This record gives sequence, C-alpha cells and structure tokens, in this order.
Amino acid sequence: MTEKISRKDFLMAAGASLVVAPMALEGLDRGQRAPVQHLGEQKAVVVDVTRCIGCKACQIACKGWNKLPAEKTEISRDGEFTNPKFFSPITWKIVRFKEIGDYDEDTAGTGGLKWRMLSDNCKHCLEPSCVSVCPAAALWKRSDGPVLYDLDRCVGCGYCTMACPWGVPRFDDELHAIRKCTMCFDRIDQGLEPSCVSVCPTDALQYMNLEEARRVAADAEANGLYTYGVDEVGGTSWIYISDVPFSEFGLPEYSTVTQKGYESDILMKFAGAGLFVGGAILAAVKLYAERREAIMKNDSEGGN
Amino acid sequence: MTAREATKMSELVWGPLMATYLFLGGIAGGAYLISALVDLFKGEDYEVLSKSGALVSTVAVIASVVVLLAEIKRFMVEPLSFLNAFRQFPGSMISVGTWILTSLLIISVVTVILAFFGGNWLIRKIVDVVGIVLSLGTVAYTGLVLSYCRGIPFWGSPFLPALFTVSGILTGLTMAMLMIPVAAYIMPKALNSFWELYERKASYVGMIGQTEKYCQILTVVEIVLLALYIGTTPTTGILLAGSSVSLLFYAYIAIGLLLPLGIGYFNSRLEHQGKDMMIVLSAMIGQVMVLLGGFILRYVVLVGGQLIH
Ligand code: SF4
Ligand code: SF4
Repeated sequence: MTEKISRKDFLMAAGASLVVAPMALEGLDRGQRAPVQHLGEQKAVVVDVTRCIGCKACQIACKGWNKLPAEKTEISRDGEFTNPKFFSPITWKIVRFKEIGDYDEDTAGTGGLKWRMLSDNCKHCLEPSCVSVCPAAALWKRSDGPVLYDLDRCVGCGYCTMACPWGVPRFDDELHAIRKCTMCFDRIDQGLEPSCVSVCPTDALQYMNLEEARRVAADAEANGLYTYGVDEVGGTSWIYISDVPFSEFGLPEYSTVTQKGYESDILMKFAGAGLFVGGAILAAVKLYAERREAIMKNDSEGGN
Repeated sequence: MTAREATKMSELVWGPLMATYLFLGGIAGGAYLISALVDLFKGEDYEVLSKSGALVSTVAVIASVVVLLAEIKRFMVEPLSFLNAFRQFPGSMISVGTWILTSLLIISVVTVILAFFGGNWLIRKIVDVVGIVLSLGTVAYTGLVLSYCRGIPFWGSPFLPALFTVSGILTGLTMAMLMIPVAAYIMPKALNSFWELYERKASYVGMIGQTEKYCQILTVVEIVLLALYIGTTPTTGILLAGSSVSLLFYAYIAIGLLLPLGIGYFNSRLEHQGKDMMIVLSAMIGQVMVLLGGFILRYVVLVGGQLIH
C-alpha cells in the first residue's frame, strides 16, 4: 500500500514539475512582449522601383554591415538576374530582377521591353505574423519599427517561416534557429539610416517617418502608380512604389486582414464546421445504433 | 504558381519528422478520446479498448515530442530552449499545442495508473471528462497549427483542421484497436479481461465489428471533408496531377480511405458466417492501412503546402 502511494506520488510530482519547470525558468514572467505601436514615432523605408537601377549596392551593404558571408550562387539559364534567388540565413536582402513585356521584333529598341528591379527584405510588418505565432516570444516589434528576434529564446520550430506572408525568416543549419533582416536597428540606435538605404545611389531607398512614408505612397497612388505595404496584412514599415504591378515580382496579393484576424477567421469557420460535422457524426452513430438494435431484436425474435 | 515567387523556399522547413509529429499527435488525441468515451458510455466488454486507448495515447504523446525535438534540433545548440515553447500561451498555436500535449500526457499517465491500480470510480470519470476536452483540443491543434500559416495558402482552409480532427479520431481509434493485444500483454488487469474476452470470442469479434462501423462513418466524413478541403483551398493543381506528391495523394485516397471501407464491407459479410479468425485478420490489415493512409495524408499536406506556391 505504501509502495503504491509513493509511486503515485512520484508520478504526480513528475507531472507537476513538467508543468511548473518552464515558469520557474523566469519567475512569473511569461515573456510576453506585446508590440508597442505609436505610428508617428515609427520609422519606415520607401522603396521606389521606378528609381532602382539594379546595382545591388544595397544587397552588398547588407552583407557588409551584418557581417554575413557570401553565398555560392549561379547564373541561371532562364535569364534570371535575381541572385541569389531566395532569402537565406545569410542573405537578408535580395534585389529582384524582372524583365517586363514580350520581345517583339517590330518594337525592338523602342522601349517595348523594360527591366524593373525591386530591393526586397523583411517588411517589418506593423502587426507581424512572425511575432504573433512565435511560441517562445523570441520575436517582437520595436516601437520605432524594426521587427527583432532573440536567438537565445528561439526554439527553432520554424513557425515564423511558415506564417510570414513572404517566408522571410530562414533557418540556419548550424544554429537550428532563424535569422533575418533587422532593419539595422543597431545603426538606427546610433542615428544612422539602415545600411542598404545609406548606399543607394539613386535614392530608390529612402528612410523616413512612417506617417511621411504613407503620405508619399498616397501621392504615388494618386499619380497612377502601384503601392505595396500600405494595407497588406495590416500595413508594413517598408512601403513599395512601382509603375508595374507587384505580381510581376512574385509578391502575393494580401488583404488588409492582420495575422490575428486571419487566425480568428479560420477558427470561427472551423468551429462552425466542427459543430456541423459533429452533429452529423452523432446522428449517424445514433441511426446505426438504432438499426443495430432493431436487427438484433429481429434476430432474437426470429431465433426463438 | 509563379505569383508567389517571392515567398519560395529553397528547401523544406518541415519534413517527414514534422508529419510524423502531427500524425502521432492525432493518434494520441483520438486514442484518448475513444478511451474516455468508451469508459463513460460502454459496458465492461469494452474495458480493454479503453485501456488500450489510454496506453496508446501515452506512448503517442511521448513519441510525438521526441520526434518534434528531432525535427527542430535546436536542443543540440541550446539544450533547454524547448521550454520556451510554453511562453506564448494562448497567443501562439504552437504554445497552445505544447500546453495541451503536456496536459494530455499527464491525463493519459493518470488514466494508465488508474487502470493499473484500479482507482476511484469518480476520479476516473472526472479524468475522462477533462481528457475528452484535451484530446479534442489535441486533434484540432494538429490541423489548426498549419492553417494559421499565412505564408502557405494551401493550408489556409478551415476544412484542413476539420479533416485532421476526423482523421486523428479515426487513426486514434484504429491504433487503440490494433494495440489491444499489446495493451493486454502490458497491463495484467487488462490481460485478464482480454483473455476472458478472447475466450468469449464472440464478444471480441463483435467489438471489432462494431468499431469497424464507427470507422466507416468516420471514413465517409473524412472523404466529405477532404473534398471540401481540396475544393476550398487555393493552388491544388500540383496535388491532382503531375508530381510525386500527387501520387502519394492518390495512394492516401486508396490506402487510407477506399480500401479500408471495402475491407469493412467484406468483414460485415463474414460476420454472419462465423469466420472469426478471418475477421480478426482482415480487420487488422484494414487497421494498418488506415494508419498508413493517415500518415501519408499528413505528409502530403505538409510537403505539398511547402512546394505549392
Ligand atoms: S515580413 Fe515576415 S518576418 Fe518580416 S516582420 Fe513581417 S511577418 Fe515578420
Ligand atoms: S523558429 Fe524561433 S523565432 Fe521562429 S517561431 Fe519558432 S521559436 Fe519563434
């Protein structure tokens, strides 16, 4: 009897410690780092595709400031100049090249074909999906704009990679944790512009207050240009202006719904479907039980 | 497909191990749900299924955590980092899942202990009810966790968690049935009741027959939900034609859904002919197929989502 109780006690204690251990790690602080947002104080970058000449100085500057090693790349045969093609733990900035229009002998040399380049990186969303889904509170939105992360906290689950609308956070195979653009917060803190912005020779990248950036975007829209990042997924701190649609660069269309809105929409619909399906299953089970009873009754009556 | 060029990955972030994690999570939730429901609503003849369910749930939760750690590998750099996954409850679905799975593990272990030592009747019933809530949460979690990923439009349908929920319950019930002999071997008390059951063969075979009917109902619901999911999620093209993922998708439909339905029908025919051994064997074949199908489903959805842009 005593042995029984002690074994039970042991298992209970083991179970309890499993629950309590993570809290004990840091007292009662569960590490919630709620995004703080004062639009006026937020910094932003406007990326103007119509000004970009595709020199990739921004891509190089990013490597330089963040001490990111070079990547082994190859020129692809399909005339693709985007290189490397994807974000990676050591490539946080990509200049996307796109040749627009179809080649036509008659119009050759008259501007029928044109190149457009888009300097792309983490958009530093106002309501970041990555921050919202991270189980470890390893990512957070700083009140002045940058979306940052803490490698000490990252559990390496990859959820942010999947939830980010642009798949920005990428896995480092040695750290087994994510890495991504930090908007050069360590330069911002010293009163400097992000590294990529500082080297752009054509001012295709411009650093300013978020409110101002949104005004610039509104003016561009009024002039018939396309914008990206003003409303998408609730708005971002990097706002893009272009004379060609953003789908040309492979950027997906997104509504204004934030990650939290997206989640609750799915949850509500799932709950609705669940009630319906649950009801259907219960009805089917009941029908089956009744039929079975009827058959058994028949059988036993027939048997006798 | 080119419309999402900017979100493409150069390699899979979540691979077969993650699929196994979701598969085992579904089994754990489903098996516990069956264990508790059977304990609450079925007679003594089903005791052995209830015990098997609790045992399966315990083992499946532990295995799922091991598999998950093997997938994310972060512990090799920061051994205790995984504890951080408890932090963002209830804001992050993975955090919710971490808490739910931990609680389900505790409940399953308590249930197994009660089965060993024959605990208090009331306690067992309370544990059942708590466990039902947790197990439903677990099966739903395995789908919700994917459907919240905004960067992967293929997962963005409320019918995905519904599909995984039903599939989780089905695979859980199936695994619990398949493991009855093992559960009976491990747990002396259950062993007695199993051999008793087996001696009164009719009742064991009867249980197979009845659970098969429930499995058939669940399979039909799963087929409907699969159709709704495929019908409502964007970018399904690659799944239906032209890749190894699409081959696996068809394999899932055949192995996980249609063949088990056929076997169930075949078995219901045998029931009246007294071919008990035949029923037991073909039921087991059907059970293995359901489980295989359940794994393939998770793999196809997981990998397909990351390939389809
Ligand atoms: S772009 Fe992706 S990684 Fe960057 S803040 Fe937004 S959700 Fe996070
Ligand atoms: S990979 Fe790291 S940063 Fe990303 S969601 Fe998981 S714990 Fe958070």
